[in-house]
Amino acid sequence: MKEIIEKITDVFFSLKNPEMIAAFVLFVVFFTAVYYLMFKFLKENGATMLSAIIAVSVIVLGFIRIFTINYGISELFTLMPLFFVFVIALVYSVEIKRFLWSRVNKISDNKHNIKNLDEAEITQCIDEIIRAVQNMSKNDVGAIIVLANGNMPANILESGVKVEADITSQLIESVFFPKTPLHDGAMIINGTKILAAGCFLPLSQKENLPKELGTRHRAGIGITEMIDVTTILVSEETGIISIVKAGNITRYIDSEALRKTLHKFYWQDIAAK
Amino acid sequence: MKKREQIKMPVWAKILLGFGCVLLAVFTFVVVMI
Repeated sequence: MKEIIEKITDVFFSLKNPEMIAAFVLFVVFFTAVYYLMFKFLKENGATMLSAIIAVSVIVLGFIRIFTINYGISELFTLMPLFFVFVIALVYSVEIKRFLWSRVNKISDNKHNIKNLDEAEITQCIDEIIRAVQNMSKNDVGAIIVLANGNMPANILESGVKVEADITSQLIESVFFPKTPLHDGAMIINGTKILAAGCFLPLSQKENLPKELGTRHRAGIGITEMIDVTTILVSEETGIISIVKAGNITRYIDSEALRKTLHKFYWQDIAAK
Repeated sequence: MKKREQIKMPVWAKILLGFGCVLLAVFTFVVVMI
């Protein structure tokens, strides 16, 4: 133990000459940047647990190397941070590509039009959405509308058809009208615009969902489990309106509750951005 | 019309994370150099 402490202090004592100090500073700056970007990236991709596991693994493996330094344990331990980076790069290759792409191309697909909100315009949007949802509910037309606030992943938007149109009940109803090409996918509303339609959403893998909830409901729940959005669902079989937030579905929504949700979405979720 | 809490990482969390990363980097240096 004494020997180990001596060795550690030796490392810091060796930082006397300028070359070693420069090497130390460069090393620390480089690894700080690698760790920081790695943890930030993992958090953005909802893998907070994985970043905790990696941090603990680095510390534990580091101590294993320190304590076994006299027993000729492989020098490979020194490569462990790079090993974790390599594993993450393999697992998240698609996300890394998107992450780098978004850093290089500063223009975001879906972040415009969420600022400078006009109150009259928003009231009109809310009315139009409610009218469309109620009409579809009355006519048993299935629908899935995602209310995003500039946080929709690009791959989901790209899976559908870009619309970029003002919100009108006629347009919403037309998109979800049965047997039309886009009726099966999700409509993404961002601010006062319909951003895309016919989008594919990730399905929820929850096992305790009621049997009567079909794939559309699973998709509506799935997306809210992944990112902070609200989903409005209209059942094709029963016309029941549901709202999903953070993976929790509330069924049998009336127009008043729908108005409250939309009001909250526009005045708190978007305004907070 | 009150604003909701920011979902983005707050500044103190970023500073904390940065500090943790510096410590981890120094630890890695010790592990490599020992």
